[in-house]
Amino acid sequence: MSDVPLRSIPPAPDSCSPQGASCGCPLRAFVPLTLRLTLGSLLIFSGWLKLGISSFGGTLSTIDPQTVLYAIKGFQIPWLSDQPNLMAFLAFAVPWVELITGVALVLGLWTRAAAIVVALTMVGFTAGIIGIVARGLDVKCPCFGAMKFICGAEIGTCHILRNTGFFLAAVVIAKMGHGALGLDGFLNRKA
Amino acid sequence: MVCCSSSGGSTWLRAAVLVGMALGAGGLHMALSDPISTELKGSGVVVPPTTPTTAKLPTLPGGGDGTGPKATAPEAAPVVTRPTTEPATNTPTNAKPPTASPAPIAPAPVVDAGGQTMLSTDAAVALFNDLQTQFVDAREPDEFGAGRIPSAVSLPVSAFNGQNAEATEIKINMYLRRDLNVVVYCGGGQCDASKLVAKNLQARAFSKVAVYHDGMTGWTAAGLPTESGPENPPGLPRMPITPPASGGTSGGGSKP
Repeated sequence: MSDVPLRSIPPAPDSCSPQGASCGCPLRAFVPLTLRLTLGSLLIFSGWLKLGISSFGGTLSTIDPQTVLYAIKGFQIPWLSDQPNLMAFLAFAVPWVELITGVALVLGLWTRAAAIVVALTMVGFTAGIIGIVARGLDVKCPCFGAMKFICGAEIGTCHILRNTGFFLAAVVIAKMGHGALGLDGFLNRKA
Repeated sequence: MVCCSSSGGSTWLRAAVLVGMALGAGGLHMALSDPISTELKGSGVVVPPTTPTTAKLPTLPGGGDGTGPKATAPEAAPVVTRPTTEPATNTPTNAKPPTASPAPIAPAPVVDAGGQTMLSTDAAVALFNDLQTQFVDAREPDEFGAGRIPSAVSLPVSAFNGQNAEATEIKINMYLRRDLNVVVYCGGGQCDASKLVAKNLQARAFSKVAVYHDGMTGWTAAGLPTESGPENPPGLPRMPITPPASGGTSGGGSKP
């Protein structure tokens, strides 16, 4: 019998760990990376366009929270339409949600949490858009400020499909994790 | 499922923290910003309970010089009765007759002797509901503040002269888009302010400019909604309106 204490043997690493960064599966590493960089960039872009802080010398067609407020009211969401202060708050908060989750996704920091928030946000946005389409309202979407991305300004089916795409991307990121080059992976290794 | 793995609890906690950070940033931003109005543009608008107008005028003839695309106006088109030297066949319009509903709207711009496209009240309403048209109020600021077409931009004739000119140039670039229609109006009837402002805009590379002939008088006489108070910031969406129950608003009871 040896007196040398047995060292615990660490389990063999899962080569396809959802954490992805150190795994051997390229798909698990680069699919989330691609999705979070794409989705995160778009969220940063759309959030910034709505904050009205800077258009970088007129380079970007930004709008301000006042315009976002008008758009929110244009959705004519029952109950919310009677809460002007809450709508005004949302006009400021929604762009920040997009911006912060976008930054988190790009950095790969708290990736799954950010992806879940994005997915829930997209569910909310899409529900509102479906309500608009179903009621036949003519509302312009400030989704990307005064700029158009894939869809035109008038809210319609295109916006539903686009948001569904964003939602699915967020779900995939939430399922697969940060993938390659994420701060989450760096912090996990450090821990 | 990811959310229910061993780290699922912390994931949801982190999600809550992210939302909290965003709400906090939004609240801080709101506190540091000027208060924003919770009233929708055109607040106080009383929309007559009538059948919604679906007829639209997607574009205006370019240039306002009578050289725009030619089309035959609908026979029953409620055009403005206005002295013109142009024969009817020269009426430049690419207005589409209503197709989606039997709404009695058949806007047909006409060109007056000065070469400017004149719109009837029906045409103005159709363009208003097109939401791709910008309305410019050529009256003085006090009249503008007292009552105007919802979402209109104030550009009085006096703003193009003297010390106001530079600020006006900036305002035009901020408020108006050259790729969209611009409809200029004044008090209605024989007022010339709208025509002068329209010419000024055309001189600044606005190619889709028309004059709403009956102006504010025709608009209010037709029972159409107005808004009052300070001018709204640029780029805001507006709500479509419906014409009064009587249907055709051509002429609008304008009082020259």
